[in-house]
Amino acid sequence: MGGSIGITIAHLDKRYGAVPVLRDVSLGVRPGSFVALLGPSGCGKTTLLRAIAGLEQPDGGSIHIGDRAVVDVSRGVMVPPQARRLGMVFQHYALWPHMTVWQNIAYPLRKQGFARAEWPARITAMAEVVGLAGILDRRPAQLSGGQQQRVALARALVSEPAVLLLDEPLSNLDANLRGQLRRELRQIHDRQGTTTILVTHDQEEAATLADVIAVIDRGVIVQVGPPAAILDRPASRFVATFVGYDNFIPVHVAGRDGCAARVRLASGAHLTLPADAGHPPPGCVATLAARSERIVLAACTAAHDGENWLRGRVVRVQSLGRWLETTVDCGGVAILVRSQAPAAMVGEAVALRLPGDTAILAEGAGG
Amino acid sequence: MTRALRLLAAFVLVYLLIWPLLMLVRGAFTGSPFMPSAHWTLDGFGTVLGDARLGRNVGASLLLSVGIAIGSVALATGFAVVRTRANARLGRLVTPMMVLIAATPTLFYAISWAMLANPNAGIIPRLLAGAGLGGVAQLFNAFSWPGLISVGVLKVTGFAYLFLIGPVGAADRSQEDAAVIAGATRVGAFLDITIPLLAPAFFAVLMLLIIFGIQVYDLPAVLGMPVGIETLSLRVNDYLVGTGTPDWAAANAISVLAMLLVAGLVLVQTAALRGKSHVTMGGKAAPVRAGRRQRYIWLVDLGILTFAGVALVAPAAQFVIGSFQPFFGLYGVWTLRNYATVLSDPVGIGALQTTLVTALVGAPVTVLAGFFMAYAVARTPASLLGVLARIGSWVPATAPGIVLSVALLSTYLATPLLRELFGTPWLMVLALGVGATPIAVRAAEGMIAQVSPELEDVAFICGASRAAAAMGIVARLCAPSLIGAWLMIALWMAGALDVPLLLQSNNSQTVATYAFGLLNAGEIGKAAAVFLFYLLLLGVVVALLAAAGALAGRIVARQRLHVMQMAAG
Repeated sequence: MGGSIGITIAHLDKRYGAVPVLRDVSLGVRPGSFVALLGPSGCGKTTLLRAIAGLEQPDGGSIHIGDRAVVDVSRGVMVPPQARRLGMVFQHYALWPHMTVWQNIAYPLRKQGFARAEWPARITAMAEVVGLAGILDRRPAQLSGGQQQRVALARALVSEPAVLLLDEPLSNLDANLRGQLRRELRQIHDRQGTTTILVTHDQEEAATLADVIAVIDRGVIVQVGPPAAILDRPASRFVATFVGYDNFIPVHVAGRDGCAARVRLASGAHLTLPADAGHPPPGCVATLAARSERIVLAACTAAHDGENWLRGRVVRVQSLGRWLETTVDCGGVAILVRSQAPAAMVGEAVALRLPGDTAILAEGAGG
Repeated sequence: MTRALRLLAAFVLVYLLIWPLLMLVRGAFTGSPFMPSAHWTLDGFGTVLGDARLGRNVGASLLLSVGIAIGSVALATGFAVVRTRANARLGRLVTPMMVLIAATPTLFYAISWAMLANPNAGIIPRLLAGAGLGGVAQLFNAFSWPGLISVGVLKVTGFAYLFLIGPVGAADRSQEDAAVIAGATRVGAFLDITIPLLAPAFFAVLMLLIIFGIQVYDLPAVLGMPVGIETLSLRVNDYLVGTGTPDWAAANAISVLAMLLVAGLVLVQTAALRGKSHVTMGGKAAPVRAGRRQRYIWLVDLGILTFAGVALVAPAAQFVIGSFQPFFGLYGVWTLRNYATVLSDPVGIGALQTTLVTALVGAPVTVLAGFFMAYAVARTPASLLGVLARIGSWVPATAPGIVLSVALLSTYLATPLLRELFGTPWLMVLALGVGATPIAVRAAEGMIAQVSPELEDVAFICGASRAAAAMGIVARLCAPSLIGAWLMIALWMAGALDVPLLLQSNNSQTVATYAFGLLNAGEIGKAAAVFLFYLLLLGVVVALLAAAGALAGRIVARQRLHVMQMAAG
């Protein structure tokens, strides 16, 4: 089902009045892949999705679905949404309350000219896929949130669209249901093979579902890559912050040795960290980004005098439910450490070891 | 509020708003309110049901009301869609235009069209005839069924639009987007999804306008009566003034039948909407955002301009022109004689004075009363006052204006002290206040709904009483809208013909009753002149009040500054 078709977005611009919402956005989506557009509220991710759907008219650039240009502002091409062969799940599902589940799912078949004789087989098959069998005669108001979400998904997929667009489809569900539907959504994608674009502000959701994540900040795609690359090697402070890095330590890049970089902190301490070609060269001022829950905190002993251990003093310990957050002053730099068991008392001298996934961000790669 | 005050308020509500309708029913079985010792009789119903014209009257009322309702809802829907989705250049003009049309009194709107599309001297037939379109000119005749319904549609589209713009604008756009993604066109999505979803709103507005059409008096009185079109509301008046001896029992009986018809329609509406869920699923509806300007949007702009020209500019221009013509239809000669005659007529001066009193005293009191009734309904719906306010706010609306006039007359004549006020402007002010109460309550309901109860809760916690919180917080926040409601009701009172019809005397005419008398005497230019002069007068008074308010505000601000400087220094 589905037919795998790619999407090419080139130099897309969109403004609301004088306010730019998308700025020179370019993105390639491979056929059959699952791409997540990740970013905070108001970053333009939903606008980008709606531009792909045809619900927003860009001010510049082009969008190709497969080989077909659906938007090309310079040539005046703007294919209407109903002619793009898409499926879409809206954030609040947008189910039609005056129609039954059956009628909701049948609507795309009716509008896209599918033979009426085909409808029952298609609708029941899709109901099986999304787990709706037995409730096709109900109205949306009689369904739970999870069932409504499944109806929206069935409606989006029933006509075998070339591309499936998902606009934060899980954001209205409780945590348990969200986890369950996330797994099902991925399974359905793997079975159907439909090229899928998901809009979300939840990094965990993006990492679980997508093959590729595009992080958007103020209308610009700031990093594209597989989830592991985004989560472990953020390209900027913005991306790092967004995906959960909470320690930012100013350093000077002292040297480079193959896949390792040697950095110097303001306190004079040296650290050696894994590095790749994209990392800042020696001589640069840079920022280390580290996740507080990955930093090791230990009592200060002679065993911790070696490479990659920092010395500091505990200035605060705060309980955050199942976590304890310890703030350590390392030569004037406050470093947060999260642990599940009490690790040190206020005033105690401690040693810290930064994790292997500590990112080295070039100065100026902020945002 | 103390218990005694609450009981007093409940008594006033019952007496002013509910009791008159009970008196009307009583009158249907007893006859004239002027007869002190009435005997019980079914003669009134016998007369009405035996009257061969009854079927025709009911048919005419239904045809007029259904025609106006369907036409105006169709036009209003179109304009609401244009305003919320089309991104037309002139889109911003639509709402102010509709407010102006809705605020224009029906009587004067009808008089204006009686001039514009008059088959003998109207400017439209003349222009068409001058252009060699004599055949087409015959079609533009306000004094005909198509003319009557068309004028009604133009007038009522303003109301229908103001009722529909909220629901159409608030409709969840993602519901339509989902249909478009599924393969529907934008128009198809609107028809398939939005129209069924808004069915309750459309149905409610349709029923409301049908009820309006059954009640309306001035429109058929001006444009229908001269050509033999007689609705139920005209028949009520006919029983009282059409023959030598007023048949009060028949007038009351047909009034009761008209109210039953309206009550039946209200019940149909309630039953049809009960238990239906048309709410959208999303907790957060996507806002409707007009898209990019389309290539053929100029056609929409042209449509807006055309409607503004036909429904607003042309009648207003004709009204002004007519007031300066020595004789209606005599174009090219201008005179102030109409104004001079009206202003030298003691009855005309009295009418202007009475109407100004209704605007400056009756209208603000009605707005405040409506505000407190709406407040009681919103905040204490289960209390005695809340229940009475809710019933009281609807009862006058179910009675056609002329019926209300009969009911109020019966009530006031049966009340010892009020009876003495008959023939004075004050009784007229009271009657118009009662007639305008449903409008005032409906207007206030919308305003109060926008004020979060939490704002009052904070006031209570700070020690304010409910009345103090209502006045100090809610009324204060609603003040700009309340001033708007005051002007709207003042205009309604100036144009209401039916409510004061039976309460008028030479000493207590309003601009509307006086102008209607002039119209019936063929003095159409003077009828226009008296209303325009009243508008001028009202405008001057409002401007003076606004200036006084601004001056008072400045003085208070200066005093406050002075006190602060003293405290600081």
